[in-house]
Amino acid sequence: MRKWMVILTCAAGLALGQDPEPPTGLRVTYRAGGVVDTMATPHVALYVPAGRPATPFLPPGRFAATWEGVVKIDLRGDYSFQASGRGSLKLEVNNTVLLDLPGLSALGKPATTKPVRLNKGANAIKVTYTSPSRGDAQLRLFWSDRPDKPMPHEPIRAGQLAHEANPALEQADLRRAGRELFLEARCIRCHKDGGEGGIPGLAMSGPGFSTIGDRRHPAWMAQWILNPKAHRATARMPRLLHGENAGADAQAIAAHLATLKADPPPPAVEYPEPDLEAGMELVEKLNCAGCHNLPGAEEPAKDKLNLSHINQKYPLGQLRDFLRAPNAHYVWTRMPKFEMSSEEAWNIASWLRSQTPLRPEPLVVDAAEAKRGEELMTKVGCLNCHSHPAENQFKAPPLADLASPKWMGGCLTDAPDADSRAPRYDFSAAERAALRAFAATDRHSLKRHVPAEFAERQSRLLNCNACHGELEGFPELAPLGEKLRPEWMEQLFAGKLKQRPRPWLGHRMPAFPARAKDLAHGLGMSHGLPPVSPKPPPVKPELAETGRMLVGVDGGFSCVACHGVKDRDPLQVFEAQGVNFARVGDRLQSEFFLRWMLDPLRVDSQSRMPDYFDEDARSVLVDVLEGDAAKQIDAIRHYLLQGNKMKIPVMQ
Amino acid sequence: MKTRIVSLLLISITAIVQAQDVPAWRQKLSRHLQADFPYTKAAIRANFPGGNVANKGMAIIVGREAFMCFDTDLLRWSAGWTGNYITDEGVSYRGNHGASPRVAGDQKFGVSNIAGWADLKGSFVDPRPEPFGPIPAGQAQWRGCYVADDKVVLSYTVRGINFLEQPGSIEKDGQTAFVRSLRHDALTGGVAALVCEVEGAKGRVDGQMATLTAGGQVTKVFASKGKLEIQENKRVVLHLIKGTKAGDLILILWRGAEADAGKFAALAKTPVKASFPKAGKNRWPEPVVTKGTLNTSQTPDGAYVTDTITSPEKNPWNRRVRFGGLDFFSDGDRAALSTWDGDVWIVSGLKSKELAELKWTRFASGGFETLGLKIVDDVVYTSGRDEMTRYHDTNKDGAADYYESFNNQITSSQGFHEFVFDLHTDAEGNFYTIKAGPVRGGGRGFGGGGGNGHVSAHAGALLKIDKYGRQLTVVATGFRAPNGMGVGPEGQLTSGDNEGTWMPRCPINWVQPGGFYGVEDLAHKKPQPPHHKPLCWLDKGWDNSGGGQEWVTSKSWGPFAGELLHTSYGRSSLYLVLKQNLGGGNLQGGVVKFPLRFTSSAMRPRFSPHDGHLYVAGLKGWQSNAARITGLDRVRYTGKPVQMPRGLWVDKNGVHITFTQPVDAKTAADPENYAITRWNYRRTNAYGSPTFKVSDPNQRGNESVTITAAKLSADKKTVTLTVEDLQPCDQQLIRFNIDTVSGANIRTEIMHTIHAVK
Repeated sequence: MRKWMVILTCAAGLALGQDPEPPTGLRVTYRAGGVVDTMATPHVALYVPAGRPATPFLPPGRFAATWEGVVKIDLRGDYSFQASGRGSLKLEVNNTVLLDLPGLSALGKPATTKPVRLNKGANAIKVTYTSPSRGDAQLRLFWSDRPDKPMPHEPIRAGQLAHEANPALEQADLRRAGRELFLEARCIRCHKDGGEGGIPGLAMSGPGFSTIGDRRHPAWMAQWILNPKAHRATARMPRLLHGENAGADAQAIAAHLATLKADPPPPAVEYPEPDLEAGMELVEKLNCAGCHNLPGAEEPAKDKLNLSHINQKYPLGQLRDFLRAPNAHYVWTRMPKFEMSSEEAWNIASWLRSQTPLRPEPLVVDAAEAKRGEELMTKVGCLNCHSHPAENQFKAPPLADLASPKWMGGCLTDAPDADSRAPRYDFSAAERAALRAFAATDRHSLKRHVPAEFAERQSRLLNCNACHGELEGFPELAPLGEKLRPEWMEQLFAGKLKQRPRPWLGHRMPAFPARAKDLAHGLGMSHGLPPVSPKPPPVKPELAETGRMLVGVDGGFSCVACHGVKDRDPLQVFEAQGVNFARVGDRLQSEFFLRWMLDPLRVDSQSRMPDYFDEDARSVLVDVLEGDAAKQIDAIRHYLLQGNKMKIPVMQ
Repeated sequence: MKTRIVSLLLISITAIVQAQDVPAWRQKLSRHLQADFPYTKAAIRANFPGGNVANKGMAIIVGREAFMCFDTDLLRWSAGWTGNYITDEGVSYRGNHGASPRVAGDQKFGVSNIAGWADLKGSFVDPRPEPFGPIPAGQAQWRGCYVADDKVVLSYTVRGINFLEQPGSIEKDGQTAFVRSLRHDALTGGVAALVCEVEGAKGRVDGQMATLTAGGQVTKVFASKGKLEIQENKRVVLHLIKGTKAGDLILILWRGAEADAGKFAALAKTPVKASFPKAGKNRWPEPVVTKGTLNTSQTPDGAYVTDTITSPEKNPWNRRVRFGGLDFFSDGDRAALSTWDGDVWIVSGLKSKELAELKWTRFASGGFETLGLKIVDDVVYTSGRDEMTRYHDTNKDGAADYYESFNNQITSSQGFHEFVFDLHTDAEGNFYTIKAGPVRGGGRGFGGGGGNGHVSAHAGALLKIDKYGRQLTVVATGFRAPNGMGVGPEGQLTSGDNEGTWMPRCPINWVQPGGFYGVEDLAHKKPQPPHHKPLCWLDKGWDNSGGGQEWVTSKSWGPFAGELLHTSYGRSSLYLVLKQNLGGGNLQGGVVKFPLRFTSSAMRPRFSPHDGHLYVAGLKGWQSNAARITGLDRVRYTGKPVQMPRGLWVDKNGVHITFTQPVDAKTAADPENYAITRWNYRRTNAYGSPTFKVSDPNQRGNESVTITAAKLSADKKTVTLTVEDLQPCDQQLIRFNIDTVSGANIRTEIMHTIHAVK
């Protein structure tokens, strides 16, 4: 979110000042069918399935991509680079061609450069890639700062790459921001686009009205309808009611909504005595403050959602139900779904309610007014986003009729007329500029679903970094796509994992069911990994048995000191419990697993996992599998691949 | 398996065990416990009375299927039982973090946690200021024990009068009675012994017999002399009056069903002849022979190599060998090593060519987690959870007979993490050891009772014991889990520690008397004293659990004579400490690694005064990347030129690094070949600390530091790095990639701390 705000303000020419650090990552320019798209990217990596576009702004089919910028190092030294994938590739570093591979095959061995001396500071890097004529496009570029050592190459960290912005990139960022805003503001709900094959974001609507009369206080609904942004600065819902009667109209609509109750009424609920302290602790553990200004927050953040209104908004018990299933009436809600027990939700809800002094105001529901509200609702556009059985009377021009010049008026007018009936989004000038930049495109991007782009956008909008890299036990988000198998990630995001990987953590990874599949695929593809993992090799029993010995106490690494195995608890956990071994095999990418095992601190500088292998890839256990690190790690992998069928290692 | 049982039997306490009648408990005993040594020391939990824990317990095998536990703090017999021995719960046995061993059989008698001998007023009430550590020596004092074959003879004084006590049992007609045989000097004052307690009993004394009845069970006590008394309807006490001549007596205890009470008379009449032996046969006469391996790893310059002194991991007794202490005898060929499991091993053959003939013999056993060892005048001392022990081989047969309690003033609760690490002496002969805090299971916080223990007086303290063993004093406080310390030639005290609560990273502490080293729960002072900052912090990849330090006293170990070495238990690594004296007892500095590989962790570094090599012993517990369960390696200087940094200091002119060899001006005077990053920590009650930027203390992460110049000194051995915004920071990492004049590449790193830029 902040990134776009920066881009938008820069685009509007508002933000100037001291020389900023050059943006991290490289600038990549895609070309296909005469169309060009440019963006900043943290990785030199891509995975584009055959017949799919590389970016939403590009037509599908063969494409070329050029990454440009610098790789920054802090110590002069010899490095080597390694490329793998499918397609053709040219790698230039400091204007010297290090690799020139007209045909790069995923099936062959990765191509590795000879050691090349890099200077302290910035070294120019340029990677030119062309997708193969048939099949999926794939590229991953790794490097090594010790090519004299037999350790595997590793991804170049985003912080070590930098690029200069240029007008093409700024323009491309602007139209990308416009597309995102178009999706987030649900423009398509009014300005329909014909044809098939829209991207997932086009399906986004608003919360359903079914039983909303039970779920929300009418007076609050009236206030919200009148001006959503007054209550939440980041609200996407526009103001639909204007003029002198707006307040009365909002009350009329709210009065109607108040009549939408469950039939028959739900049975009366007896609420137990809440444990407020437990609720407060859970609010902290779940890091609600990552996205919300908690009651009593000293400096409420502008981009966080306030909670001061919850008593005005939710009747007793309804906040609990919302916390348990925020997606029950709103599939695309950004509120995460924690697997919360009824008791936990009740404790949280009760604590929050106890902390907010504001109380609901009464709203006298007059039957005639409610009837008027229902009619009004069908006319002003509510039903374009919100489900309701009444016939929608609101009409807006289809998207195809909205040629670029028309994006100066209507919802996007710089200064709305007092009597205009157009919804008012209160877009900033920069936001309007972005939307207009998007308007100027052919808008085919609304039909081009690119999972990597989806994952980047959604993980930003869902505020994943509020927890990842911030909370204990929540790893940095950036490398997760290369660490976790997409099949496992999809289960995680869908909330379908039977067992949390780290059940001992107070913090919990929530589910985002509507986004699970595309998020999982996209995170992997942005690292150059296919959405379907290669089938793991068949378990070699003898090797797995050696692996079992290696993880055990007697003659092994004693991994079981910190890692449990199936139903057995780890022996001697101190602070750093490890994931149960029965749940590792289907979770980790094998390439990542090797690098992680060889040197955990190199992958995660805050890890407490010990390393057992030196920089010559030799094991401390010199008598097993010739002391060869790779062989020992492979043996452990074969053991782990057995999942719940693994035998218990020696644990004392 | 069969063979093992047979061999165990042959060397076990055969006097009471008939080969054809092996009791069940011996057959099913966990391999972490031993049946072929007469006692096991641990915090022993009994089943009654409630809360009965002998924090310094000796669970003694007193018969075929009979056991008694002696508490060396309270000088009481906390329990007697039959059937099974003790459970193998406990960090040094099964490995669990929490509970310690419990009486595993059918408990027959017990006493609450009160004194085993009355004070001058005749009271058994616990007289200590806190329920840990020994009772006052004037009341009763533990002296140690004699181990003779299957017998244990306890030695203690009561009101200064010498007592020997030999526990035993009588088994007859399906009944087992416990026997306390006592031998005392002339009683210059009256004494009273606690015998047993039965809550809510009805009691009576008939001459030399006392009976307590409760719940259908009868407890009977026979005393061969003295006067029995029942106190508070629950406690049997034996009084011996002033003027009693030196002599022997026996106490016999039995408990059983009322129906069997009649059998006690026969038991009490069974002749018992205690011999109070002070030495027995060496139960481990055969050595375990191993062969060492030379050159198992080397530094890139080839100047240092490791040789493996192959440990007796495989041995006829199936004992676990996990070295926790190391020192050398004066003959230059032998060293003694104590183990976490309570054994002392002696290895000979250090002088043998290529370490080809290493002979390991067991010298002692039964210790309470003996993680420190020192040899003074060829006599072995160990530090353990319960005491410092001095070992005497009185009959010169190669195994200790008298386990003398050199000093037992240390406090110990039930906590699994109350390790007592390392043992050193200073020039005056004073001993030093360092005790960990009672870290809770899971690693966070301290104490809380049960298996997590309590914060007792010596928790997290560096301790000094005078050369005669008379007085233990606290030198410094606030340590969390310092698995090793060091004492320099001039009495300099150092310690490591372990990242955790109040410990943002592992430090190397430069310890000053009275100093406080970080853990606020273990400060033992109010108000909280100021934190004495360490010589340096070490980031995770360098040390996640510190081992001991050693000063280079050898003249034949390359260019580092007089320098300080540090080991990492967690990272199994050896470091040269680069130190800068800031005055006032404050140092700053850092470390550079000797990239060598050790057989296990690196925990106890010691120079042999004879061959001048460094020996490093270690074990594998948890939080370590050690390979094997234990290891002893020798770090040998080969005579090749050493290519390493050897000095570091920081002043307002920059960061100065001195090398062992002249370095090449082209590479060494080029700032492009150096990189510096830095960060800070926060010392809080959280486990460890995230990293924070020095330029913005609230922002997480590290930051690069700009090096504007690298200047080489005239002798080409010192590089001065001019650094932008040089300022104090908790951690600074200097990486470099330069060449020496002779063309060797030095690509290494220095991890250090800056307290002051003067």
